[in-house]
Amino acid sequence: MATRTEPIAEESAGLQESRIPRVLAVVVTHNGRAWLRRSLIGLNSQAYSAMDVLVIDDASKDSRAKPTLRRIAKRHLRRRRWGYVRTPRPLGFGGAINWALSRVRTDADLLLFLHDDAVLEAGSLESMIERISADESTAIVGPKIVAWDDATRLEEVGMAIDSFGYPYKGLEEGEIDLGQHDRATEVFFVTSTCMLVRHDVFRGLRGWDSRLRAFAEDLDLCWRARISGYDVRVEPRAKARHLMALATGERASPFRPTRYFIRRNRLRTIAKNTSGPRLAALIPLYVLLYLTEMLGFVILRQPREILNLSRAFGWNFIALPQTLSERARVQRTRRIPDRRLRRLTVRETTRLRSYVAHQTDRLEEAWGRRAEILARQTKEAQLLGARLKGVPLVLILIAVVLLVLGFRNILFAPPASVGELLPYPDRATALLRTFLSPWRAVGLGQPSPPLPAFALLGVFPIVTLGAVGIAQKVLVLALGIIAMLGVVWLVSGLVDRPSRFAAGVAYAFGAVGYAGTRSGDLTGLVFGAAAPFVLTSMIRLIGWIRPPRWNRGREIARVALGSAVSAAFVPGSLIVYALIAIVLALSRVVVSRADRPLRGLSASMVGLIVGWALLLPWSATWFETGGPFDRLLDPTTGPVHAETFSDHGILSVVLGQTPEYPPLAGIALTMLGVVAVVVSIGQRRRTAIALWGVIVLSGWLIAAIGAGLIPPIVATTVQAGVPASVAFAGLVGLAVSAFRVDLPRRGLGLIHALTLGGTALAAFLLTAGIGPAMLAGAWDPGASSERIKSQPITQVREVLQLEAELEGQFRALWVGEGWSPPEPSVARPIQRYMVTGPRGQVLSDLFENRTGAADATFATVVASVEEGSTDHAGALLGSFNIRFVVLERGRGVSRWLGQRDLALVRLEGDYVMLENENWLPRAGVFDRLSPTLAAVAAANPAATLDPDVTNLVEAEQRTSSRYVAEGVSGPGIALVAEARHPDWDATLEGEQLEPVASGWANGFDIPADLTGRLQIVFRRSPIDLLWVVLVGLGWIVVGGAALSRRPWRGDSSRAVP
Amino acid sequence: MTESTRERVLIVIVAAALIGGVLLDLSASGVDAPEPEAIAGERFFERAAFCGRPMADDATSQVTVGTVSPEKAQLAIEPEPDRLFSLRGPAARTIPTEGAAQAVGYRALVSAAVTAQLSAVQGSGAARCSLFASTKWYFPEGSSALGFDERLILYNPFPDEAVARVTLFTPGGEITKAQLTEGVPVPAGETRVVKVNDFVPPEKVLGASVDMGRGRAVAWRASLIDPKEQPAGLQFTLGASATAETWYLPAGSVEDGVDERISLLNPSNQEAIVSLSLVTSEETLQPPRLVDIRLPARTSTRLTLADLVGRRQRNIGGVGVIVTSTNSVGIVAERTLWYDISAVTGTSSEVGGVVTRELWLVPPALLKPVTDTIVVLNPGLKRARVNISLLGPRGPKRPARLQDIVVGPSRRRRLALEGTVAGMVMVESNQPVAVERSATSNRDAAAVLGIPSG
Repeated sequence: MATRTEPIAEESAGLQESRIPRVLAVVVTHNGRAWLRRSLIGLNSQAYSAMDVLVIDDASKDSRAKPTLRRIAKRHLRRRRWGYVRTPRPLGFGGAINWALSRVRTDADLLLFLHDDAVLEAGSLESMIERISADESTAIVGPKIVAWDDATRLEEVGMAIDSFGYPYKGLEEGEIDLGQHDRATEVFFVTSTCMLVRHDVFRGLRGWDSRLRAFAEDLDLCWRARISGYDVRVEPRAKARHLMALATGERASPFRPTRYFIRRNRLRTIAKNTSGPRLAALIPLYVLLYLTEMLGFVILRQPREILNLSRAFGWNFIALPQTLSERARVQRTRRIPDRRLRRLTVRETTRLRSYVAHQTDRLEEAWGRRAEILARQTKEAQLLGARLKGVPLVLILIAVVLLVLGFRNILFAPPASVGELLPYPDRATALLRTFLSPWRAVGLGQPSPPLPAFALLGVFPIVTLGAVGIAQKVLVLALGIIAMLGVVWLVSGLVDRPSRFAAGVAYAFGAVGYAGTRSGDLTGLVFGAAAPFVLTSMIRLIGWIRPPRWNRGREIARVALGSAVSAAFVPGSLIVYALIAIVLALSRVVVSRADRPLRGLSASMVGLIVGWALLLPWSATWFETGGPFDRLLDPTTGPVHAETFSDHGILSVVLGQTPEYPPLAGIALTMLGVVAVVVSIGQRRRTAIALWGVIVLSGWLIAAIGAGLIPPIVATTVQAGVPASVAFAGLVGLAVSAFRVDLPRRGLGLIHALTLGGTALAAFLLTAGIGPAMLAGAWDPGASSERIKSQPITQVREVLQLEAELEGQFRALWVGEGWSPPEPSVARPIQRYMVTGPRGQVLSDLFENRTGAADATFATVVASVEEGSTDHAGALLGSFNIRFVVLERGRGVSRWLGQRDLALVRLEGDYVMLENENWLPRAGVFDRLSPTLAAVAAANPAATLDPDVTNLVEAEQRTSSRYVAEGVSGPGIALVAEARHPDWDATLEGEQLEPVASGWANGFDIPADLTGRLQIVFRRSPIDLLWVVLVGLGWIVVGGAALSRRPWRGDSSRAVP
Repeated sequence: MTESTRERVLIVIVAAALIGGVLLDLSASGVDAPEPEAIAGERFFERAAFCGRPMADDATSQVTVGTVSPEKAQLAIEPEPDRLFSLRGPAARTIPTEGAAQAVGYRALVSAAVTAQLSAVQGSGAARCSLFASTKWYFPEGSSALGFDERLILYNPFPDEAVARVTLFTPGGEITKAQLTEGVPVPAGETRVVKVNDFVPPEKVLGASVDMGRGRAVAWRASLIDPKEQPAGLQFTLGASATAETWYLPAGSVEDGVDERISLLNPSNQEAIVSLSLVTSEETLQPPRLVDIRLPARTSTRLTLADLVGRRQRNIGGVGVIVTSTNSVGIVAERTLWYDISAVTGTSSEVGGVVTRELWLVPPALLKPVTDTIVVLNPGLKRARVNISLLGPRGPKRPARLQDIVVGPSRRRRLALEGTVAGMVMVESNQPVAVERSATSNRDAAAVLGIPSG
């Protein structure tokens, strides 16, 4: 690497002795040959004599091209003392200057930093020197920056920032310079385009932050100078023209993408220079802001921007130790508090207005293009509408009517409460808050990692603008539509539009949707909606179908996203996907070369692993006690799941009867599957065979689980039947396409007759199977079993809610298997009883883990009642905050009816409701530990004979992990009726309270002399929060990558015909 | 290999896998889920026995509480919770009480009964306490004739109000009275007395059923009897909470001066066909007139045994009765004894038992008995060996003459308790038996069924 220095240091040694300040102009060039000459000419034209020039070549690629940069410098700086150095590699503007100044000696009083695409107008330097010399406290002075090609157009007159470090010019776009800004004002910072800096201050500040490379280094330098007590000013008499070659993309720079470096450096600058308290306040805002930005990029389908943001965060995370060290050094020099700099900053709204105004033009341009596309699509839709006349229109109307009829029990009924298809909690954000809360108010309460399922489900009440009543209907319909689109996408590369539509309809109204809705298998329905997308991507990766411009990275991201969504509800789906990938790859090996399918298999596995990682930290608990796989693999609970598979097998799968479907319709699917294989040609035929492979795999899986050969990797037959159902839907599309496209190509013969006959029979069977089901409203939650339907549950819930409004929060105990789902699932196993809040069981109660010590104690209380050893259940249950007991009518009810402290408040055909008047509040302050709690803790009901405890103050539940009581005074016991956990913490007026033994609950001793505000909180580990942020970023990145439609670098991948 | 050949190979593989799966289907037997495991952990033991009283102003009554559990139990007589006693079984304790009470056992099940004495009618009686409340109660016996003060005592131990609907039955059918069928409210934790005579004209035979329209309750019947031509006394019995096809009435006697009557109630809507067997210490008799007695739907009837047995059997002495509904229609049976002999005049009544057990706690029938006997009825086909212990607060006493007593199959045996035994008696048998205690005093006679334990 050529590095050359001229002897300017030695020659300029005498400058210090003269009275006028000596200046060293430092011009940094990087691939800037085109503009450097004019920049040097501008410098050379300055009348100020005591100026030397140092040209730094920041490893330009063309430095040796003729004429060399050195020669250019020499040619245009003849009258000056000058020097030329070249960095060994691109170091960025600041880095290059630091590097060069460490190698040359100079006694210059002032340093003039100049970009190679900036031209200083004559006389400007003098004006700047005059300004900087006028005031000892002024350390940095910048000129007025105007456009390169139009000196009347203002580009910058000093810069301000907002709280987040976003720069603000304060100029209109293309503002003309009429002298309106010609005041030597103090500014927050001036850009590095051209700035004059006191050399001693620069040294004191230890130069530029060379780790920033490009962008925001000027903000950082000026900020540090300001913190150290120096001023930064603009001298309007000085003027520099600036091309902005880097920002406009005219310069080839190694420091790209621009937005990455801007965001990265801004974060570092903020982290270094902001005061501690302000930084603490900014961090969460920053996270929120960036997440919002990411969401915006997801909507705008700009995956790279999401990546840039993530990279910026990641870089700062890795560089955090060094940043903190730098910060400590910067803060040690602080002389000015942040509040004194506020006058130089702008409000976020001001900057935002400016930003929006600036971006509007860009958006208009982009939207203009989108409008064209939209207009084209609208025209297509109008054409399609014009074609919809006569018979097709009548058929569509009939289909709509049948759809409404079939789903009438979902659409026009109160929210279902069957299986996992539970109502949404009351508040629109309840599920999202459950997701974020470290403590789940399910059952007796439990700590829980954030369950991604709640974050996904929590979107729907927000979509419905808080109307939780219809959120469930929207959810079910959305899942149906997503499932339909997924299968349309599966066959989109192979078949024409009517065939795609047929495939989509076959899936939306297929066995999974039918059985899943009837049994309330919500997790199965989500798996069913996500599976077509994962299958499609795996099929593409493995090479069965490769449409033009497919991209491996995007398909992996889709596998990851789809598998993460389905595994958030059905963890075993990851294993099912892996098995499908193996079958698809192995069968592909039979029909093609081995390497590509195996590469596709590896890529699919990578996608599945990423999908698993997106569910962290919850996915790390799958095998823990009470976790999803623990339930499936446990020798006592596993066979309960496996038993439900016993009525199914490979034959029922192949005949379309698994998990549940009208028999005639199932047989029709099989017939169409055969037609698809027999009639299709080429790629369609091969894909049809592959789909049959998936069906057979699904059948094997169900048969093996049912036979007890393997443990149940998924909990229900609905979930196990998803791959077969997707495959059947794909086969329907292929069969329709074969009938429409492939059959006419074949010669007239037996196959024509068989196909026509088979298709006609299949159509008849489908109509005969589905039609009556639709008329009967068969998509009815709860129709698949004799369990208690939604209506009684709704009745009970209304009573409980009314009581909750009057009396505050309490728990209810539901006894009887009738309240459980028709089939046991991981999210909601069948249990003899359940504990809920006043809303009854809602979606946030899914995935309850009932393996804690509190649950065990509670189980003995319930067993004591059911075995008839106690008739005083009210006292015992009351200590668990249980106010109502809801009993399924049937065996065992008499034991409950015999409880002498439970009042019978409702006696209905399906259920009995008992009220317990002896219940402890959820949280409060008592004069001593409740005797009922002591009775439960000591397994001695006689302890309840003690006189009643006095409830001094009742605490208000602010969130599921926080209770607050005002005006508390000791002595007493603060108690929160949540399962005991060491992370529950109580403070009274900031004073930590000591925990006391309080059985299953959490009690704290209040000393006699303490008075004030009581707060009981479940502590959250910062690591948990970090996980949420990291995993959230992961979802955004993977989501952005998966949903992107923009061409990727790898879009040149060869399509399989 | 050509492309079509590869496709065919793939089809063959898929088909082979399908066939393999079908074979698996055919050979597999399925998975049976194991029975759910019992919940581990110590149970909370606390059970109350609900006790009633004849609800007369002049009544003197006591609760006798016993337990067979060797656990050191605590015993509270509510609603006076400060009356807390310790009891380690087998033991029993007698405590005076006023009004309805609950005998609550902590860590052990306690059995209890109330023994009462009325001064006005010179009557005494005993009734078991109930371990449960029910929505239905049946009383086959009763009368609103002159001299009979028929009372239904309803106790609601629950925190919610109960409403009782009372239906009365005669041999001619049921009697519905608006005030009774509309419902008698029984407030939470309180006792209400339904004086039947206030609602119906005099009826010699008057069965009753209590149907809780809302809530649950415990019901007893107390008849304060002072007729001109019959002995005076008190009939006091706990109702039957359900109908059954077989009823055991171990005590009883058919002899001069002792009139035994069996009252039957058929609350169902079907006619019941009932047979009565008489069990003596030597044999089981089946008098022809006690076979296939037709009991129309929703009627009650009273059978006087002396009128229905043969002439030679009219002085047969002590007999137990087994009442059976032969057409599986649920009925209820109650036995009434009328004593009119020199040693005693009076009456007793007891609803029959439906179970046989090997361990019984038998409460005292009278406060101050002159004669006190335990009657053991063995309806089984095997000989039973019986041991009787007298329970006091400090434990059992086992008189030698009451040990290892043999009761033959389908026989009954009457065992006199020596002296005055105010406490409970524990009867242990190696075969399921039914046990009743019968006592007489100068003022009245009384009988009370044992309380099955263990």
